[in-house]
Amino acid sequence: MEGGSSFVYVTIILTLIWLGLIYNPNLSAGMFVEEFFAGFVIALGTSFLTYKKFKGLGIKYFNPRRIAYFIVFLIVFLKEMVKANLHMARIVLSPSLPINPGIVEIETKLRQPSAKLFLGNAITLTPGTMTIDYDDNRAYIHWVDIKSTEIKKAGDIIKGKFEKLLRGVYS
Amino acid sequence: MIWLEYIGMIFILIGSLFFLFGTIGLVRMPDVYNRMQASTKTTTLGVLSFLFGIGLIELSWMIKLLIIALFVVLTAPVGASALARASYNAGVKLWEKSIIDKYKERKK
Repeated sequence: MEGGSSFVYVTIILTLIWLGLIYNPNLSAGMFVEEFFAGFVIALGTSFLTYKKFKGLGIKYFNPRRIAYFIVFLIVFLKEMVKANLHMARIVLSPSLPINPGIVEIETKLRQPSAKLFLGNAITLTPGTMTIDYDDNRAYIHWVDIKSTEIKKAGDIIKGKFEKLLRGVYS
Repeated sequence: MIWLEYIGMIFILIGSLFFLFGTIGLVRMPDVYNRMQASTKTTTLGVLSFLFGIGLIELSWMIKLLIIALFVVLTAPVGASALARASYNAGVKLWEKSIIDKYKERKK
């Protein structure tokens, strides 16, 4: 069946989220089985209605190498997020408001829509930058403190390690 | 586990400090886009810090709170991008001291 892989993928992800939501140390085994199956059936139904929207995704993303890359991505992402907030706190607390804003353009080699989503989110939450729009393989970034307006150099600074790690997840 | 509760409270305090910085940014920044930057980043990390702190105080809620955190991280930046693009298309100008606007060049 075409799209079967993404159907299985969406079902597994939804069931995992459901397992996290019903987790409770006091739950008896019988109750757990009941709740699990109720959620699993709803996950199957939801997946059947929506799997066509997720056609780029599939069970190949449960490969350990991809998951390892994704975990490293999350750790780098959290670290950058803390840095971004300290950077922003320093800007808004300094009396002279040292900003130098504008919208720059960068290029990305990522093709998959979900990869672009993760890159865009990572850029928005890291120091001083916010994704405004994608135009095929170009992204438009609002930057509070511009260091370079060249496509390549700005891209290297803004994307940092994220693009490399995402290519590890998606290749 | 009284120590975990204290650590959780410290995380909640840090979260509210980030909210405070975000609000100061919202007042001080000169235009929509810079304001959006200040508020998106700081509230996202603020919410994460809050949720983690609550999870340390009530350990059995931790998994649920981490799932909520995941959804916040996935959706908050998307909302910010959508709002920024919508305000650009609605004609909201960049701050007059902005040094470059590549997005405008694309639209011609």
